[in-house]
Amino acid sequence: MAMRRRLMTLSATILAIGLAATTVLAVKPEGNRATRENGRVIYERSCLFCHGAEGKGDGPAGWFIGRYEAPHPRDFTSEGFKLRSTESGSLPTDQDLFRTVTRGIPGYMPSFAGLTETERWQVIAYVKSFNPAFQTETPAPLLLGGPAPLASPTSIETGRALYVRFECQACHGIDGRGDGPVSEAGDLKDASGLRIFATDLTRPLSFKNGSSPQDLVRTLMTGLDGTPMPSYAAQLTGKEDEAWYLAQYLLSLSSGSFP
Amino acid sequence: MSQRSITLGILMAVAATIASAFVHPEAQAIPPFARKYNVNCTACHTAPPILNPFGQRFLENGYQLPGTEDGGIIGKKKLGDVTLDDVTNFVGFRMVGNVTRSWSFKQQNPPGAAAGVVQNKTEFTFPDAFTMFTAGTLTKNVGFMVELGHDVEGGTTAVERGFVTFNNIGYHDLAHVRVGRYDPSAFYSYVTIRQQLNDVVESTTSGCTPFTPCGLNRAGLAPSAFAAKFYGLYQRDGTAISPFASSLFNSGGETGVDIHGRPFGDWFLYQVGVLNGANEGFGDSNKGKDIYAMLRFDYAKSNNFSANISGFVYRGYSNAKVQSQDDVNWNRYGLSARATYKMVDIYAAFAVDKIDKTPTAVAGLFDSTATGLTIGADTYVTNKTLISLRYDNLDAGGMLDQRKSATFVGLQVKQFLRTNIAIFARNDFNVRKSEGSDTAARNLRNAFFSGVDIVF
Amino acid sequence: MPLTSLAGETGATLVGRVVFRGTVPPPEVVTVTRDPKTCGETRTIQPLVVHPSTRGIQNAVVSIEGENTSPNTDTTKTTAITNTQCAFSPHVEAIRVGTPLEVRSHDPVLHNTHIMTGKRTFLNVALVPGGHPVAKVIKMPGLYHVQCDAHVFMQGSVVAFDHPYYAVTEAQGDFRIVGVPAGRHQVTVWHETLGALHHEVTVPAQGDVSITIEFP
Repeated sequence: MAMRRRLMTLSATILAIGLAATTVLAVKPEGNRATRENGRVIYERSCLFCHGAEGKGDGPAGWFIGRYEAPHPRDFTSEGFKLRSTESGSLPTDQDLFRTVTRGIPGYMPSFAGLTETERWQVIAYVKSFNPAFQTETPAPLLLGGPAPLASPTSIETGRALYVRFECQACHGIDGRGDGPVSEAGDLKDASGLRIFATDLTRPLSFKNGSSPQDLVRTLMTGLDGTPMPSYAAQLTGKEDEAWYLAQYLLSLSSGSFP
Repeated sequence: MSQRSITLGILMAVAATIASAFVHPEAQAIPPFARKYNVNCTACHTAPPILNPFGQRFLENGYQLPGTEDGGIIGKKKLGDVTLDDVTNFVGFRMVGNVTRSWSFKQQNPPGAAAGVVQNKTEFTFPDAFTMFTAGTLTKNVGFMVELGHDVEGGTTAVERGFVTFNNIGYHDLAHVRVGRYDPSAFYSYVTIRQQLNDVVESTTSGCTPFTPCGLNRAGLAPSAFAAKFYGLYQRDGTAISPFASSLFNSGGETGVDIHGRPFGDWFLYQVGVLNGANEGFGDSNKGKDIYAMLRFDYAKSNNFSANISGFVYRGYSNAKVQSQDDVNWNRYGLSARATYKMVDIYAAFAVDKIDKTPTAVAGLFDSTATGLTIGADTYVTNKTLISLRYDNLDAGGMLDQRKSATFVGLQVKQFLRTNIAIFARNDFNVRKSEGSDTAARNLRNAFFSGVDIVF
Repeated sequence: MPLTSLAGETGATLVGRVVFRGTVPPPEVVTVTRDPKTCGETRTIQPLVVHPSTRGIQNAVVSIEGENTSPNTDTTKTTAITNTQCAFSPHVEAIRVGTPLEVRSHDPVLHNTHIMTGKRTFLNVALVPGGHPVAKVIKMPGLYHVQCDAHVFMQGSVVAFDHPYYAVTEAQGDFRIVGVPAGRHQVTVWHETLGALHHEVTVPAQGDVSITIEFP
């Protein structure tokens, strides 16, 4: 993953200085009819079984993903999107969708890195055609603030204080195990009214939105639409360091390695 | 159901409830493909080992995600070697079996017992079957599967299946080839090796001699549609073929070559294959190859609904012998269908077995036609409780003085303690009137099982 | 908010009352498991508030199918929902498309204000004690459901219109919509538990029109 990110940074740099990057990298196809048609073919082979022929999240295998509980496959036609870099309630950027298709969602959606980069862009163009809001809204990524400060005992302690002040323990539990009183009471529901459980923060490999410090800061800023996880953007704006400290504290809760 | 069975059943249910109360609902442990792709079992299975449509396409595509040819993506480390870290992405184990069994018979051939006496027998056992399988992709469009099964009671270990797949030959989904020892019915609507109610093998008298009827103590409990169905049929080496054993197209493992694909889009799947043929002794060159063809129609679009129907023709050439040691051509024609809507999964299979020409030595003594019908249903009543039902009717063929038709109904409750650990309680009962010792195939009145199913 | 409307002062004024003469179901009493110091030990949830003498319903949203769907030019106005003592104030809010909706909290505990339209999230933000309010412009007409996931008994509604002809009924069930153009109109009344009701009304060029709308 780090390799990929480095690759993307590199490609952005190459584009920025105006070199002929097209010879090196797959080009993101234009969002035209032909692209969507190519995307449809891929969608019907790879995505339909969970997300359904009309993108309603009701594919023939979709019910089994969470059975009687959340999550169920995303309904592309009317729901919001969980995994974004944009503000609460906004649509995701193309890059957000690309990240989800490429990484998958731990536990629930496999990585489709087996599709070529062009194929992934094509299927994204098709997925966006399910929701007309993609034509009227222009999602913009939130700024995640400056570079990540290095983790230190002080920064982790500050992060822990923020965890308590933001009452993360209400859902995620005082030890971060996802066993907070609101979650245990069964009060948490997703947008479809299905029971949803708070994430066990001691198991970073199961984090749906990724487990790097950048991923955690993004989740704190954007929230996970369709779930009870709110955006803390308004509380963290201008105090970006606090977001990093909180992320560092969250990662300090697990003994396992993380990417 | 005997009093003892009922008591055991209640105990199981209580144990399940108590045990499940201590398990965190998010607990997830995952077998090899799930590990490789970092998803739960539910991505591919309705209820393991039964596949949902996504899992079926994954299987069809040679263990590659549907629509992709991603077989190579985990082998690209360093020099393309697979390291020890990857082993868990390839190897899985399943331990399944009964820990208690309780039988209720009308006389189970005990010496000196009066005809018609009802007997109960309860035994504690070790989980019967331990399976180790390794499967995955070697590189893009090349996959493999090896499954070793150890039967704890019988003390035998054997390669149940072991084959290589070559996928997407020509263009995507045109042709996928399997070579080796595989289950021909892998793409059938009702797959032999994917069932909730595991086969319970029959009990036979020991010391059977070739080409003589092998005495049966108790009937086997296995899907009738897949069974051999004939009494008095022998392998070419003279071993008696169990009328309950899954066989021919529905065998759990046969050696041959098989091609399948979906060249006409998603609606149809074709499958053709050639097998050494059931029951051939090694190096028996007098025998012709068996051939089969299957066509399947799928409807799987939206509304959490899918349905499919499939039919096959299996032609055997000298693939069995009768008592007189004459070769016969044993064929099967089958039809199967399945429909899944949310938590409900219903499937059925019907098969007609026909022996081409009855050898003159057994003419008039041998019924050359037999049929089997199996209907099954699984449903999740809660996120952790799966109820399965199976009905079997065997209209047996073969030697008229031996054959016995049978009808059984089985009901199983499976409680998942974790996504990969389940305990179950099951009861099968004889729908027909149970009979005494001379009809061992029908002497079983009721059978109760409780056990575990662990996959990791 | 009640008794005023954003419409211009020309045209007729529609005044009236929404009444309910049926039996009001008993309120639901919820035991509070979180933050009882702020939220109280129990909460009495009664979404159908009927005035005992007038039988008027509070918090019904009355609107007229708009002819004036011109964009909202008044961008200075903000409509706010305040989390106070573990309730949304106001419980029901009507708003014109193009207006920022602000959510804020006066409580010393964590709230999240989670606003959805259909299955799509409009806004889900954490409001920590002493934290900043959050505002977001409503761009689509329709019904928005407001909830707090940390306190499930906290529920509210926002109804957004792309025209200025709407009002929320006050305690006695009264409403008033000014500047209504002449002609026949369809009046829609919406209440969170009683649902929607339609009523035809003919409005003259000037003056008041008075109507009483009764929920069956």
